[in-house]
Amino acid sequence: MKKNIILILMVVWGMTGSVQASEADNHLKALFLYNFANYVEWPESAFTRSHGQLHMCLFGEVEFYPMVDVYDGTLIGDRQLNVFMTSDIKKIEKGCHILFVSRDKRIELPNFFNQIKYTYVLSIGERSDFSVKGGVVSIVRTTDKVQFDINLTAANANRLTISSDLLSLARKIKRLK
Amino acid sequence: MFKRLANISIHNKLVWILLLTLSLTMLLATLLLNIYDYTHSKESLESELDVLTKVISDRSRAAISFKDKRAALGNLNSLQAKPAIKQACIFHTTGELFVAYNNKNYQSKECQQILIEGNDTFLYTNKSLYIKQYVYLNKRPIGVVQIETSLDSIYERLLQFSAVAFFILILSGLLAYILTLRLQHQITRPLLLLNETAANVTTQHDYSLRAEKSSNDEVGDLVDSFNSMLHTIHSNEIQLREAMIVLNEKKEVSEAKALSAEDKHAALKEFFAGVSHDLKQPINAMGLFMEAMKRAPSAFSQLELMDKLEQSLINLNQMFTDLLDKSRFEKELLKSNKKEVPLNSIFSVIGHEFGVLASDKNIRLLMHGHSKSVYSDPLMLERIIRNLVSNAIRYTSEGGVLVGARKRKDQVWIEVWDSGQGIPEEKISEIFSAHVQLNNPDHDPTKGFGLGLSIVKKMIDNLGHELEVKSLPGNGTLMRLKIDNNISAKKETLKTSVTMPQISTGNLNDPLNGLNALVIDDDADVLDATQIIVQGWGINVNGAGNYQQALDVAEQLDYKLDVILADYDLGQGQTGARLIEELRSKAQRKIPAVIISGESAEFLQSLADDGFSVLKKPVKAARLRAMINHSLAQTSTDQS
Repeated sequence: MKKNIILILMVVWGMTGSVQASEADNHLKALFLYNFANYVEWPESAFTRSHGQLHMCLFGEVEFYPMVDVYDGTLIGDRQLNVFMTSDIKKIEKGCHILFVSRDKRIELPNFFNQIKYTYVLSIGERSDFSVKGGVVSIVRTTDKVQFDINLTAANANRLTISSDLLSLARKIKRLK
Repeated sequence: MFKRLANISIHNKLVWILLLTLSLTMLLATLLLNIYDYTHSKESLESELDVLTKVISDRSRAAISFKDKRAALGNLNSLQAKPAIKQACIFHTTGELFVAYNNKNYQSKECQQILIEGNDTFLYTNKSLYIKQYVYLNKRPIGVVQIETSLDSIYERLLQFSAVAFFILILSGLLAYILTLRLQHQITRPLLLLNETAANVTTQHDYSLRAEKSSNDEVGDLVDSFNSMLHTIHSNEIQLREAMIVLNEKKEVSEAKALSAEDKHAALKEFFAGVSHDLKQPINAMGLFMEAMKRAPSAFSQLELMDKLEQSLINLNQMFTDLLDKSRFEKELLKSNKKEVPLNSIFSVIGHEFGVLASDKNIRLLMHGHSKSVYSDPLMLERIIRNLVSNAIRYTSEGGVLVGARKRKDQVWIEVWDSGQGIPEEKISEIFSAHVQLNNPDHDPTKGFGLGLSIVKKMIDNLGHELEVKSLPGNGTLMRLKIDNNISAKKETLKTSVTMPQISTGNLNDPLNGLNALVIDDDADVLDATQIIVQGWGINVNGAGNYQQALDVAEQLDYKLDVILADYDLGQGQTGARLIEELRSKAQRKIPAVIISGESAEFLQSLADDGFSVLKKPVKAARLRAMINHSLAQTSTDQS
């Protein structure tokens, strides 16, 4: 009995810790998303007008959406950040400058980029192979910390300019051969 | 300090001033340079640190954004390249430390955000400089970079700089000292020369000295001014001296005038004293003539005496006429009227005037040498001779007075010999003093000498004649008047022997009377004196000055000599003894002879042993006379 109690307590503690870790990760991910907006430059043609908004789309169910949403309306340079979340692909067809693909939508990935018909998008995924499979940035959880990989080829294809500071922080950078 | 500096030499002053100035200026320069360098170093450090902090900030922005501590720390670790940086920290805007870098070489505390007031980004503490830089993202601060650097390097540099500056200070000071020592002569030398000249002028009072100018600067101007001043002083001194000389001359002239006035007064007094003296002589003579007339045995004799009386009266009258005329007297005294004067007239008057006085005193008066003439003032000369004869007779109580004139080279000597008491040598110079006579109105011979001698001396001086006095106390006196006389030189030829005049008042009963004597002496004065003395005894004297003259004179007399009086040493190796031998040989008979000598007693004895009659100098008249008598007697004994 006692053993069971201890076991239960350990599981609860472990779960609590896991929850706490996940919370911090989510904060960090939200910060990452915001900061990517700061260290990536889009071509002027990516915007409909000169001081047009910078759209950040969270596709699928993103648990840290509220943490990202706090940045909604903030200025990135002279553009206002517009954050929204949707699971409807049609809603993002109009175009997103930053597109975060949640884990639940990763199954759709093989066809996903074909469905997105617009360019100039900084696509961010949560799997390490996201950047390998056409995405630009993969946010990965290593043993000790949250990091990211960058597919520079994909970035160039999307005509994005990535700050060297950002590149210096990346865990891996994939380049054209 | 400045007071002490004022009292040291210029040389040291220059050195001190230069060293002091140099040290102070160099110290100030070093200080300012140090301050400048320190400030500059700080600014450089600030600038460098500012750039560094900005770079770190920029590079750390993404790391802060992504909260990538590793990346941020990597950035900070790059500061290891800068050993002076002690600590670097990145804080969140909340103040929470993000990452920190600590230099192992320093013991640093935990990173703590410092508070900097105002807009400054720097903060200095004792040993550190802090810089703080905010990291912005989209104009929003996301963190703070703070770097602390050590100031040790600046202090070390300051220390090094000071040490080098001090070294340079010492070195340049030393160099300046050596250069000053060598170059200061340029300034001090002219000043020292000037000083030396001034000292010489002061000690020697020589204002003709001048300082040497060796430069054209202010010192050169000073030397010029000094020389100019000396020139002025010198000129003034010369003028002053000239003025003094003029004043002295004026003073002398004034004094001379005063003296002249005194002299005139004294001369007047002497004049009247002399007059009383001179007038006594003819009056005395007249008295004596009167006495003689009373006793005159016959009318003829009285008539003769009357003539003499009348002559005395004429003389007296003449004296009054001449002497009482004051203006004449002054002229006579100051201005002589020289002309050729035949001595016979003067001798005749004086012989006449004083002959009676002499015979009254029972002494003899002999006059010879009438035929000569002299160049003089006749009236003055007569007064001079009268005075000399008058005094000679006055002070002679036995023997006689001889007045003679002789030619000697370009001079005529008028000599007055007497056989009186003589004058002590130390008193000879006194007899010409006026006061001696004036204070001795009684004519006491022990108190003074003949009146009027001071006037005589003045007249002699005025005529340019010379008076020589020789006297042997107890034996008599010689007054010799020397008259320069070229005229007489032309008229008379020098005679080597003097034939005695035939006028003789000698005693006919004297055994020596009428003898012929030859006197030989190489000293003219002794020869003269001996002749006069011997003449006084009625002997006919023939004189000779040397050996050959003696032979000549003897030959002229055909060796008719009754007695020979010879000096032993006749000069030129000749002796009186040999002369006597030769004369005796030529006369072929033993002529009585006396040798007079100043040799030693032993020598005289040897001469006596040879058969000569010998007399030791100085010879006294009585001894001579006795010796002549003895010689004559001895010869007659020998012959008989």
